[in-house]
Amino acid sequence: MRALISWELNRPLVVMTFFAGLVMGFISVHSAYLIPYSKVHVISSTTPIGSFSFSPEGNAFWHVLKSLPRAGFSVYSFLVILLGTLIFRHDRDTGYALTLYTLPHRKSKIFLAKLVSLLLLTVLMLYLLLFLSVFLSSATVAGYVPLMLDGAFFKTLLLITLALVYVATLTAFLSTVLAGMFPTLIGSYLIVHLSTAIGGGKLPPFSLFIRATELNPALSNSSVVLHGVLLPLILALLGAIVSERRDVL
Amino acid sequence: MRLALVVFLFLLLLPGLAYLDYREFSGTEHFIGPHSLTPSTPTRLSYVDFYFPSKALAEITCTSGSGEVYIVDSLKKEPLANFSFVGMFSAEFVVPHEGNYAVVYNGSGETQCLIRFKRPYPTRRVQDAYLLTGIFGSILFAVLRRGRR
Repeated sequence: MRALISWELNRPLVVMTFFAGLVMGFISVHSAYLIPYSKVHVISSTTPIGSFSFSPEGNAFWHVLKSLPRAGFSVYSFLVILLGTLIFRHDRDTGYALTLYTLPHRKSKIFLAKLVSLLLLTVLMLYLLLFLSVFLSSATVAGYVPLMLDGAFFKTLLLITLALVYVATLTAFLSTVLAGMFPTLIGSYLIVHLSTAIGGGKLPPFSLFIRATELNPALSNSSVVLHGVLLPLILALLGAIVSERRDVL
Repeated sequence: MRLALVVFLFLLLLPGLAYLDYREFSGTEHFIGPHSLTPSTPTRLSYVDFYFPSKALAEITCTSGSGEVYIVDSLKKEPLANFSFVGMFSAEFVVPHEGNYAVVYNGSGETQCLIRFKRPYPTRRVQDAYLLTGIFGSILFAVLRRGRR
């Protein structure tokens, strides 16, 4: 399993796409960081001027994080679909999967290794860039950074991660069902984008991205559990079953 | 192995990417507002909370109303500047670092405030942080690539 995962993670084309994704993701996250932001607050308090604490929405990370769903939808979901298509379909389309599938591993195990490596790359791409750009860009106030990492921050981050996990499993499932790289690419991009247009924001992954823009998102919601946890699990399971039943090419 | 190489290559290129982003950012002027502020009373505090991502020279212009305007650093929780005015004023202050600030108005009559940020540049610490990351990445990249062509 480990050998399979490290093989998948080190394929030259995947690594090249990952590098392009790092550059694109950094530019989108850092550009969001560089937008000034202002808001009028009216609070009822008796604290003297100059000693009041800042509101939860008034921190630098909050601002970046709230613009992340848009970047997550436009840049990251595209990159995840591209990486997933490369990982799952490229070897089968070019034909060298035949040699890979002669190894003494079950087909579903190879599928699972591919899925794990895709999720690893997704999480690495999202978290590395977010923390790198935000921490480095606020190096002057580095001592105050722990204050900003509150519960709402992690909840928003988790929702975006779950949305991207859904996109990854969707690509994995479609790659086993459809024949060829381009049908997978177009099919998964179509399904991800249709969720913005139909259903009024109630279809994944758009429902998760929408929820991530809320001030303090609730995680124990039925739609979050259904779209972020159950649906990816079902898709991954179906993908593993279908990959077992199907021919390699 | 190859994945780690690519991550270190990205770290090596990071200062350049950040420079390109900051160059676009520093080349333009930034505004916030105009925001309408009602005078603060002992029980009700009305303030503008603003976030600016770098060091800058700021110019605040408030029209109508009279009283005092305080600018507070909300992260370090210390006062930055205060101005007393009648009718209208325009003054400059330095935004010392990236982060959140608050503009509090204390006086009589509603006022409209606009802040213009001139010459926004990242602070020395931020530049150092990016360059050190680049150096760190380049060393690791060289260690991984040693003896290979």
